[in-house]
Parts: sequence; C-alpha cells; structure tokens
Amino acid sequence: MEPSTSWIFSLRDLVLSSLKDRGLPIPVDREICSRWQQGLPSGPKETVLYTSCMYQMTPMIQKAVENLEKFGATRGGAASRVAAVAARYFGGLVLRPDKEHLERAYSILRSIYNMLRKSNVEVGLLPDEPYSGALLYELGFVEDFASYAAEVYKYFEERGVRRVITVDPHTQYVLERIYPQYVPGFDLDVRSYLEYIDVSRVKVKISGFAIHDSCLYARFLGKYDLVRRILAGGNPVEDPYVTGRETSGCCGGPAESINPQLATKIALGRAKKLAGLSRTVVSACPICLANLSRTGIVEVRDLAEVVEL
Amino acid sequence: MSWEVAIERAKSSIVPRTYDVLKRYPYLQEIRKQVREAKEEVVKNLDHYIEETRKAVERIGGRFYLAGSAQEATEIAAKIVGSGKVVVMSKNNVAEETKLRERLEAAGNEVWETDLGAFLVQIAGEEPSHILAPAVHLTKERVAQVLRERLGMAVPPDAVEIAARVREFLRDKFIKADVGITGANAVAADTGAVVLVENEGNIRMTSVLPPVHIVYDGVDKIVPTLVVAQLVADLQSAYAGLYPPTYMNISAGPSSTADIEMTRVSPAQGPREYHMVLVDNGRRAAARDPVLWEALLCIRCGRCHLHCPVYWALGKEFGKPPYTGPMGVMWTAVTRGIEEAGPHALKCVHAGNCREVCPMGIDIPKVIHEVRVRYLKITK
Repeated sequence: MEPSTSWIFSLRDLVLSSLKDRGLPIPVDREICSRWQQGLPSGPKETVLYTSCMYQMTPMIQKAVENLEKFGATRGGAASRVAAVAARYFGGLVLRPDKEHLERAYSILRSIYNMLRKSNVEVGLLPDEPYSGALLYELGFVEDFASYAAEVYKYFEERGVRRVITVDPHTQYVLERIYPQYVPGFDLDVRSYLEYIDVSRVKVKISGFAIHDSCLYARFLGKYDLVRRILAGGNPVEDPYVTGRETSGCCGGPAESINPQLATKIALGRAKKLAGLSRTVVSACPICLANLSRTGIVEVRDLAEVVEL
Repeated sequence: MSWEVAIERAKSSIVPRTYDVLKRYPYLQEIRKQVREAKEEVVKNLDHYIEETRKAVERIGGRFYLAGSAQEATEIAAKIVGSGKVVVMSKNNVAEETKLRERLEAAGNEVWETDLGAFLVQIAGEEPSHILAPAVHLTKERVAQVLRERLGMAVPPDAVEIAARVREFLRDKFIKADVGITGANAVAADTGAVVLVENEGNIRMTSVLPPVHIVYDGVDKIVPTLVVAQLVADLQSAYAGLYPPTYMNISAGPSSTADIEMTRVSPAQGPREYHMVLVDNGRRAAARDPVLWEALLCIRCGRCHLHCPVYWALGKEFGKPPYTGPMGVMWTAVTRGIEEAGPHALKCVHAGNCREVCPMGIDIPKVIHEVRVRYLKITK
C-alpha cells in the first residue's frame, strides 16, 4: 500500500487546474454547490454560511478516485505512467453529479441552515463561494495552498464578510487553524454551526446509535463533548475503547485520494468496531459519511439529519 | 490476517491496562511535565549535555564514545567486543537502527537477543514491528511454529510455556557471555549513569553477569540528572501499561566495592568495564530543526502505535523498522532522512490520536505533515 508520488503530483495538477477554472478541486459543475440555496434569501453580508461545497462534492471525489483506480493511477510503478494520462482524461471531463447524493447533501445543508435560523442566527449565502483549499494543505502542497488561500481570503474580504460559519470539520480546521499561519492579516471569525445550536432545544429523532467522531472535531478542534451534548437526547451507545476521544479511529477518508486501498482498509476496520455498538452511526463530517457508508457495514446518518430544533 | 489478530489481541490487553495505570497513579501527570521540560532543555543544548555526559562517565571509571554515524557506532562497538565472543543484548532500538548485531556477528561473535520479543524476532529472521513489543505481529501460534522450525523446540502456543522454554535456552548464554550490551531508557548527564526499566530480568543479567557492559544508545536519551532519568523510566513503563515495572536498573560505571577500608575499588561482582557509546546519526541535526526537534522528546513507550488507525491497518509497513507507527515516521526522518520517511508520511491520515496519548505531548501529526511537505518538495 505504498502511495505513488507520480500520482500525487498528477492529482495536484488536476486540483490546481480545476481550482483555477472553477474554484473547486474537482471538475464539477459549479452550480451543484449553490443549488441548495434556491428560494432562500441571500441574507446579511457580514456573517455567512460557508459550505466550501464539501457535502455536495465529497461523493464525487470518491467516485472520481474509483474511476482512476481502473487505470491503476494510484498504485505507482508501471501503472504510474498511466496516471498522467488518466488525470488528463479525468480533468477533461466534467463529473456528473449523482442525483441521490446531491439531494441528500442539500437536505443536510438546509437542515443546518434551518437550525441556525431557529437559533436566531441570521446568515448570508454566497452563490459563488470558492472551495477552501483544505485538500491542497492535507496533501502537503503548502505553497500552492498558501497562494490559493490568499485568494479565498480576498474573496471574503471583497464581500465584506467578517464571520464565516462552516458546516464541516475540514473547512473549519483549515480556516480556523491553518489560514492564520499562511495568509497574512487573516482576521475572519470562523465558527462551526455546531457552536450555535441551542442544545436545550435539540430534539434527536433517532436513538441507540453510535457516534463516529470526526478526527478534526474531536481531537483538533475540541468539539468531542459538544457533539455529545447535542446528541445526548438520542442516548448514543458509548464504549470507552471505540468512541472515546483518544481511542476512536479515523474513517480512512483522508487517504482516499492518494491511497484508496489503505482508506478502504481503515474504513472497514472502523465500521466493524462501530457495528459492534450499533448498526446506525451518526457523524458530522461529509467525508466520514461517504467513506463509512461505502463499507456497507453500517448505516451512516449525518448529525444534521437526525437533530432538529 | 495474522496481523489483524495479533494487533487486536495486543490492543485489547494493553490499552485498558494503560488507562488503569494512569487513573491509579495520578502523580504521573506531574512527572510528564517535569520530564518534558527537562528533555526540552537538553534538546536545546544538546552538545553541552553530551559533553557533560562524557565528563561524568569518565569520572565514574567508564569510557565514553560519541559516534557520528551508524557505521561509526558499530565500528566502535565491534572494536570493544573483538571476535570469538559470546554477546548478550537487551532490546535496543538503536542497535537495530545501526544494525549492530549483524556487525558483531560478521566479526565472528555469537550474539543473542535476550528480551523475549527481540529474541523471537531474531529467531524468526524478521524485523521488529513495535518500538517496545517488537514481536507484536507474531501470534502465539506463529511463535510456537517459529520455535519449532528454527530451534527444534516443541512448545505449545501458550505465552507461559514459551517464556519458560526461552528462559531455559538463554540462561546458558548469559552464563557464557563475555559482553553485555544494553540500551538506556535515560542517560543522566550529571552522573554518567543509565537507567533501564524492564520486567523480564534480562537487562539486569545482561548488565551484570558479563565482565564487559556496553551501553549503546542515542544522544537523545540524555537528561540532566539521575533523578529525571528515573522519572523517564517511570513514565515509559506507565505509558506502556506496565507500571510498576518489575525491575528498574541503574548502572553507573564498572562494579565496585568499598568494603575494604571504605576505599572504592573496581571491579567487584559485576562488570570490570563500563563503556558508553552514544549515537548521533541525525539526532543533533534534528535538535536544530524547527519542527523535527520535537521528535527527540519521545520516550519510546510505544503508546501512539496502539491508538493509530494507520498502524492498525499496516503494522510495520507504516514507518521503517525499528521505527514504526506514528513516532516511527518521525524517527525514520531523524535517522534515515526525509527521503526514506516521506513515503510513510504520505500514509498518515492525521487522525490525531497519537498526539492525544503521547506522554510528552509531542505534536506528532504536525511533525509528520512537515515530513510529507518536505518530501514532496524534494521529490518534485
């Protein structure tokens, strides 16, 4: 399971060209990012709900990697020669969204939006929001990330945005913790929507589920307890060695784009552990949602699908 | 499939044990802070503390050697040992890092690992898979098979039986040994003493029975004082889930006695020679590195491995033995460079469990990410 560096560089080129063309890391129609906003008021400018297109795009990233696996692109060796060709082929297409996945993503985003409204948080919406650049940072291309992140910051500045409310842990982490290190003068207030949920009013629609924590929320952003306060009404099944802050495991998602075999192995191991507690798993990350769902071992629900105010 | 079985058995045994230890002995939390502070001080002034250690070792009648590279280190040890000797070794990751056993064997010596796990790895002809439990990848069934095939030992797949048979086999080697080589959990710069923590009793015998004791480890093991060195050993055993340790050993020079007219003379019952070979092999450069320096705080408890989803999935394929798992990626970078560590850094999923459970609070994901970034820059 050795990652192929030639593939990683091909992936970088693909991501950079797609960001340049569309402001998204993969060649998808930009319109998929904002369609969920239809019928909603554009709202105030200072505080915005920023999706970074994560929920909308994630299933397509995985599908794209699956397709590239057919070329052996990520395996290296002789197959790595195919990688560049594969990437060009991949880059030349506009990926077709899966309607079912998109509808689900939109429903999650609408739920988050409604929870914020009911918690008396007025948010603006950005029909042309760019991707955060998290993938470039996570891959290790920090210089590419830094220049791209500066553009994203400029985008927010030009629109008078002062506070960004995120919907997923990867965007929250990169904006809260990484942007200030790489973008001079970065001064946006970056918050997760989870922070705004009025815990006293939360109704949890299901019970007896297991929580799969996002690594970033639980161990980098201090949201392990907050997630539990929000979901407490559903009496989640806990096990100190499966769902503990230090003991729980990754969904494998961060390895997906460069080492899909490893990602699958990790996901299967995690899903089996969770299934020992409950067949229904609640997560608050689009990458965890997609990666654990693919195992077929557990049914994964997003936090925003199972709570309401 | 045996890796999955082996790691699950190991996790289910040692992870709860470690949490029990940490809950039962809350003073360990204070020790963590003291040790981190002391180790930071040494890393920031490494050359000064190496020199202090040299002076202290010579003061207590030992000989001190600083080896710049792996090859230099093995040559120094080979010269001390000579040829035609029986050598017993306690588990030693720096010996593995520098391929010391192979070098001594090539010089015509009979060399035996005496830690049960290290012995099994030696007999199996494999690489260690964990910094503290090198044979964690071997199930008891596989161990029984290896002992039967390689040594003709008929032993059932039972840990107690296996330990008893290996004890019997190694007892003879201890008695015949000319040289004992140990590592060090910590080296005290003020006294030239080493502290070694263990449960098996093999370190005690390795360091006392043969007439020559060689301490062979990295310069990163230096701490300012003997008091701190003992705290390091406490922490290491606690965070490995094995506290209290069965034995804690201090060696400070050749054996001696002051029973005649209260004048200290040497040797007595233990070794007549005490050598300390401390290995640089990238450590001093890492100490000056703005990110990699933090790796030098590691006390080798091996806890990060047992909380890492990539290690669960890949075992010793994550990192370069003996430095596997999250700490192993950092240490592969320190001792073998970015080029060899980079491919392993690319496997990291940034789960962050390693940082949470590290007794030294090392930001391991940050160091690994930096290794990844540098690797991609040089590979471009």
